[in-house]
Amino acid sequence: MLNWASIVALIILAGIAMFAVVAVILVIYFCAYRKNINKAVVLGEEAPRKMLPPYKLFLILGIGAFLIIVGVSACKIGKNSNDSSPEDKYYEAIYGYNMYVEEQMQEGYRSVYSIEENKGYTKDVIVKGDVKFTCFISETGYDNIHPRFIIYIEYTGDKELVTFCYNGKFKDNKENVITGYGTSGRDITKNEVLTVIGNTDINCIFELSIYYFDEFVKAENVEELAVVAEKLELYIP
Amino acid sequence: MKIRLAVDNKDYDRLRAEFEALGIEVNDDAEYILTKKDEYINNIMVKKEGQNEYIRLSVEDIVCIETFGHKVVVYDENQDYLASERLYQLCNMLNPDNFLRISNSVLIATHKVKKIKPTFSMKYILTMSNGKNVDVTRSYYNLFRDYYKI
Repeated sequence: MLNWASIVALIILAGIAMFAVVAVILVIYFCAYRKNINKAVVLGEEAPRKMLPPYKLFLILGIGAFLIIVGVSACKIGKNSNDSSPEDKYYEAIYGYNMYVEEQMQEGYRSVYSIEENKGYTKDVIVKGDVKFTCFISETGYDNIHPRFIIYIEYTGDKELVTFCYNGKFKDNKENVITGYGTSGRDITKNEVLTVIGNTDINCIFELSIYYFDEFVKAENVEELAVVAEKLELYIP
Repeated sequence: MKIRLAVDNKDYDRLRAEFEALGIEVNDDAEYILTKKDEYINNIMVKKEGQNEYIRLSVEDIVCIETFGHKVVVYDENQDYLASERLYQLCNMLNPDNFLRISNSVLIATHKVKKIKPTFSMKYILTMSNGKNVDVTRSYYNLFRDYYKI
């Protein structure tokens, strides 16, 4: 789906192109017309054909070009309006996640899933700066019992961290955001492992932004205040 | 009483003699013009600006006639003259097969057009054989096209 600035730019370009075409046609026609009437008027020969005066051709081409541009623009704008947003397209899709600190982790998850290995899941460790993401993606795809993906997040640096915030989004394969959730957070202890348990029945990208703070903060500009900030993009096949 | 004769050369002398015999002076300065019904003149009486003497100019030599306010200027290949008739009078007196009005102020000899330049508006620019440029205006545009069938 194009944004409106792109559509306006396209319309302007189309207008310029049409104007150029009309100008070329008019110049060529004008030369032929001049030759034709000089034969009739100056030489006294009968004009080979009666030609449309240039001003009439100019009006016809100008109005025609204008109508074409308006018609194409209306179609483009209509199509753009009709194109559904990713949210509409995935209206009936299932997607969601939860973030747990250690003490919050449900006993059921704690007893079944582990940061080391999970049967039926593909493991991938991604290190970004001082943050280590241990990711598990289900090999069997979606089912309504087991999580589709699990992400363990560990801070491996030296800072004394007291708080963290996070922000998760589901995006389609064209990087359009299907749905995003607001930023949440809570206090942590330094070496606490965070766990994301997520599920989805679509092929998508899960984007997780994580921010750590070394003091207690209550602010909206988490990106500016964070002492550690990393982003993970996890492809869910 | 004074009259001016706008008739064929072959009739001019005879008519002049007849009118003078009746005591009517034939003078090219006269306000009243006598012309033959349904016949077009072959000559017009013109004079050069600043002079009083009238010259008989053949219509074959006329390139175009243009008005500037009250002045009616007749152009041939080399010079311009002043006519005492109004443009509309000359339009009636000159053969329409050879002369065409192209604007409110210009009458051209149709066989003396050297070049025609169309424009993107309802106008043509004519270059006459004496080098003078005259415009076919919007009001006479279609008449001009119909005349030349263009």
